[in-house]
Amino acid sequence: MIDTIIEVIDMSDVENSFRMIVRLKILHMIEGKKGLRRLAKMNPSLLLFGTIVAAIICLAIFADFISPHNPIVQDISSRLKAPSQEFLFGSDNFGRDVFSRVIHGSRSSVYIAISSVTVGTILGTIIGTFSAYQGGRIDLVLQRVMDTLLGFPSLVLAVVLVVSLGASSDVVIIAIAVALIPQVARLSRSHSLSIKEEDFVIAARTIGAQPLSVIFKHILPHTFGPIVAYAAGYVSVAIVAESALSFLGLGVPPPYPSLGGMLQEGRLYIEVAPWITIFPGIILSVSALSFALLGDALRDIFDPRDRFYNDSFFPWINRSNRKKM
Amino acid sequence: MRILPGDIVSWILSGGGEAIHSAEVREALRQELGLNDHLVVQYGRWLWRMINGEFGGRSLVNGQPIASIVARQFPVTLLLVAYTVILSIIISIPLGVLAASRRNQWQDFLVRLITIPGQALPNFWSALLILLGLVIIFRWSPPIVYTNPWEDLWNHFQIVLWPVLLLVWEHSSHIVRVTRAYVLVVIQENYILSARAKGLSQRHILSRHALRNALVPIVTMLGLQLGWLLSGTLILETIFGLPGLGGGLVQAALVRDYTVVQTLATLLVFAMLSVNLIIDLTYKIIDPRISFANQLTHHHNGS
Repeated sequence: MIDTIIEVIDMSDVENSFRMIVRLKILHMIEGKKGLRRLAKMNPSLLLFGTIVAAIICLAIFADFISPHNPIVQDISSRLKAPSQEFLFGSDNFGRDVFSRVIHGSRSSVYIAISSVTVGTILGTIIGTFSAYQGGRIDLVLQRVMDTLLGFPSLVLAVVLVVSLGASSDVVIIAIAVALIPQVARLSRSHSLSIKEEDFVIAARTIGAQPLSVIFKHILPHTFGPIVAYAAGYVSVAIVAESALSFLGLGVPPPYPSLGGMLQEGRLYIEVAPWITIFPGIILSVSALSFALLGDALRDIFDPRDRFYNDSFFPWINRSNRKKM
Repeated sequence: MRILPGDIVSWILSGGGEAIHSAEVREALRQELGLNDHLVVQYGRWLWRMINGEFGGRSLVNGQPIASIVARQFPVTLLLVAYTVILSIIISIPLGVLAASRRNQWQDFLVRLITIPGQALPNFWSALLILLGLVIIFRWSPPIVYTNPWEDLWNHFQIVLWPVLLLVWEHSSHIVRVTRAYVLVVIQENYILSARAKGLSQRHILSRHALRNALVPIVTMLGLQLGWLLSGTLILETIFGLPGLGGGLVQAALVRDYTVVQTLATLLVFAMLSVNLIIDLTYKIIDPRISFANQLTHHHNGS
């Protein structure tokens, strides 16, 4: 008995050191006198895309304060104005300020993307971890269901959901979350499977810990990092999916601006007033790309297993951080 | 599926505009279309028509038999997907192997530079840019009316070219990245080292030993990516005005043509699942070590 307890204490140390490695990696980069500079040197893509993503999120939160005009009120007298001092990005066919609409549009995009990824990630993690922990028949059945969902064309699923439930941002969030669940479930299952076999988990089960407490205290803290890293990448996918839906007219209903909807509306005027489509498109691409690349940078830290898949976008970044990390 | 049925009736009566009709007219139409029946009855009717070969009956909007809509739209999407998949395989597997064998050299960086935007950029945005660029720079826009290749090959080529190129960019970006990643993993194995020690050429090692062993995950990826590809056709068919299943689904969804949406979505999902089943069955050809008897258990411990 005493032997077991001593062993358990040892094991929990192993666990702590396990957890510490990840923490140290980040602290090591951020802490110290020249923290930012060091971070920039060791993992510049994390810093660069982290900053852009933070800026986009701030833009979304403070949209009301930043945008100079009301994004919805129409003013026919100033329709289709080219970009100028007053209308930074020009104005659209109803005389609405494109700059304000872009900011509000990215607000709804970011809001929908982040909420759908949150919902999808939480549900997917629960399913994946439960499936891995239980194993056996339950695991088999759950995996088959997830495989089937994974094979589903996600946009078709979204279209069917929107038709049956009506177009609103909540429905879009559900549609995207449903498409994400199987991917997250797969990921968290494979991570949980390897953690489950670690000695500290076996030790915890030996002393009779409840399944839920094993999952929450011992398994989830380890799978959490990789899952969050992937979630950042999924936000990019969700942003594109949301704008695709509103581009098709099946997303956020019209008067409120959405990036995809603006591209759709501006299409008719693309030769007369290209700025109506170009600016939302640029913002959309920048947000999608930076979330995706931030996800890549995070994955690099948290999930080194997939190192080859994640070789960084920028060659110079790749070399420096390989050597030093 | 039909929880909000008001929409389609007003859509048919007003012809898309905002006309107001008396309650009796609306009620008569609803009765005629069978929208007043219980949801279960409506669904049962659709299901029965699906099974007996009518493809779910008729369109609610214009009364066309859905079978004829599918017959018209299916070849368009099939061709689009076929072009894309074939071109993607031809382009991306060699590119992936090249990037892996020249890791961290300029070829690799170039491949990464092309594939990452291909994965992350929204394809409808690139499509709009291409249309805009074609009009402004070349004063040329694709023909408006779609024709099948056996009717007018040149017209078909012109209208299909850009959507296919965009789909290939997106589709092959994923395959290139997966190919590169798995070839890199395989290259570190001992049997590659021994092949090299035997004095086999690099070319032979890559194509015969490395790629062969990396092929299973690549083919799996091809199957899973098909879902994204279909989503892509949904959007690009709409933008480029191709009369395919994807564009048809979006059109039907916009006017709430429930029967058509149900049928088309079912067909697309069915197509996806059968392709993935076929891919599962080809594993044995690709990798003779896989046997289906113990594949289930094996597969589960592995992934």
